[in-house]
Amino acid sequence: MITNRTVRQLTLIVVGILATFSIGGGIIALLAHNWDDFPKVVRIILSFIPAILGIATFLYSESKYRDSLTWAECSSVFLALMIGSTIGLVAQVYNMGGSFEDFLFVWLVMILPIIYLGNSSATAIFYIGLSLTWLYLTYLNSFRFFFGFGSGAGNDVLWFWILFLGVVPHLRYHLQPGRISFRGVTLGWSVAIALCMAAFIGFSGHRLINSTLLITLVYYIGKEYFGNGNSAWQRPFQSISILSIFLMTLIYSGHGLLRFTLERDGYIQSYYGAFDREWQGEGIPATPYFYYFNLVLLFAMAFGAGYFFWREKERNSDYNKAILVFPGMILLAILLQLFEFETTTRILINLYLLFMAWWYLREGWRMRLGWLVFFAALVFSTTMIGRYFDMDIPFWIKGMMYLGLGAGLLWFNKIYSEEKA
Amino acid sequence: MNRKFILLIVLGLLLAVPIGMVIRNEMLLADEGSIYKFTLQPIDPSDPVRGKYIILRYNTMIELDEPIQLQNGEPIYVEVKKDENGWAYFSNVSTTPPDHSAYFKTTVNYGYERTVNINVPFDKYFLNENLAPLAESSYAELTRHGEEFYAEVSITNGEALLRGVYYMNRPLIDHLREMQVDQ
Repeated sequence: MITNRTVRQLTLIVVGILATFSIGGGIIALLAHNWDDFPKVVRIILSFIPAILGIATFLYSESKYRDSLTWAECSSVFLALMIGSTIGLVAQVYNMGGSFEDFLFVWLVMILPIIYLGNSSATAIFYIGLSLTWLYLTYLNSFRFFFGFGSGAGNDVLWFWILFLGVVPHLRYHLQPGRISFRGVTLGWSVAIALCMAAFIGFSGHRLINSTLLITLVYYIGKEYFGNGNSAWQRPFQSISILSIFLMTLIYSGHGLLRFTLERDGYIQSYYGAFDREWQGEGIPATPYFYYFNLVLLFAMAFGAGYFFWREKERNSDYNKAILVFPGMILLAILLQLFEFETTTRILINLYLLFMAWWYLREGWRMRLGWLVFFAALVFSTTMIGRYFDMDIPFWIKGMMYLGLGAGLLWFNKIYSEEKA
Repeated sequence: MNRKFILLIVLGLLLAVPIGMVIRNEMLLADEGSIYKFTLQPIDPSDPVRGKYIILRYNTMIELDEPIQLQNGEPIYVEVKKDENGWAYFSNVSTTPPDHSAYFKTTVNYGYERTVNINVPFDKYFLNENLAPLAESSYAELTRHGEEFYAEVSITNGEALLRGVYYMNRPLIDHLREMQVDQ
């Protein structure tokens, strides 16, 4: 239950933050115009105006409105924006090179202390969003050239986890197990989305195992901190994790995609030799020791997932079986693929998708949750549509299979329609 | 520790970063002996915070005397030399700093056998948002005579900073302003 904020307070905070972003964005755009008619000294002085304005607003808020949450949040966000504007303008005056993601990285490091100075969750969410933007830009940067070239981003994506660690104390402070608040839920959504989006591209080695562990860990952290949320909105970690498991499994159910990922990790030799390179799939990385951070993350996430699963097990024996079997299923799929059982691997992943659909359909019915039934239908339909077009088997077998599945669904309807609503 | 004290320290540190950027850049610009001129070609993108700029394209392909095993993104040191006409070029790369001052630090874009393509850390020239598109549209004119369109860069002991961009020995910005008036 959200009880610690009145609607009035929430409205003031939300509108205040939106106004801050709008004003901050306006100031940034005005100065980004590049007033090169002025002498260099004037332009340098102009560059410092946003930072001074940000600091003055922050100090004013500290001295006059120390107890106002709206002021604390808004002045922190404003300071974060203005610091970014100042370093951007100094870079502009001196024509300093470097990509936008290089600039973002410096900005992120400077935002971090502001989160703690203002105890500001809006700044923390801004920081998390900006970190994710940095991650995707860094990742996309590796595709500037044709295949094999330009994959220089490599281990740089791992910096995302170090950036993320910076915000963890703030999260620890505001997320309390079993206490559902508006701030906690909002932070929860931003963190869960960021982690699950980062799961797909945030590693430079052991990608498949790392992303599986991360998504599983997100789910069990959710059970710890948002276990007693009343709706999907109040269980952000679980909602996003389940959606990510579905998307990940759907991606790997396609032809050759699991193999491709394992080739990139250097687990399997490529048919074409494009990734036939030593121990990492993409050659000795530019920063070889940093590569091992993938393993540190792997063990940390395995430990974390195990720990939170154990805590959940002690509280509750009614597991979500679709989540419970997910890491095991991926591990089995990897083993099958390593021994070149391509078809068996695909059958296994597709069976898991069908099991997932059945599980959520059953749970949705049991708990009378329409959206869960809808989710089950989504899992089932996308799997069916995907396989109808990409499955290379005789039409008569395909026809029999789909007829069988249709009959199974009708049987489900029959059984449950006889049950009392 | 007192909250006010921490507050002042952190806010001071936040200001120290841009102040440090200014001091470091001014020191590099003040070193007259570190100036190199490179011929170039411009294109015009945009940055949401820093504004419009033109990307300056240099000849970034370096032929090495001996092959070095380099990975994409690997940090390297690029040596700079001047030809008989005084134009600068990237002459060699190494994974350790050379024993002279005419080099800057950057990363490998890509490389194969004896050829290395480098990322250039002074490839952005920030311009007023009205002038940047003009620079790109007059690309043909600017590059017609090759060596009349060039960048002046301060390079010393691993640091590099773009001093300015020139066309026919005048700052590009003056030339673009004239073009703007003529239009």
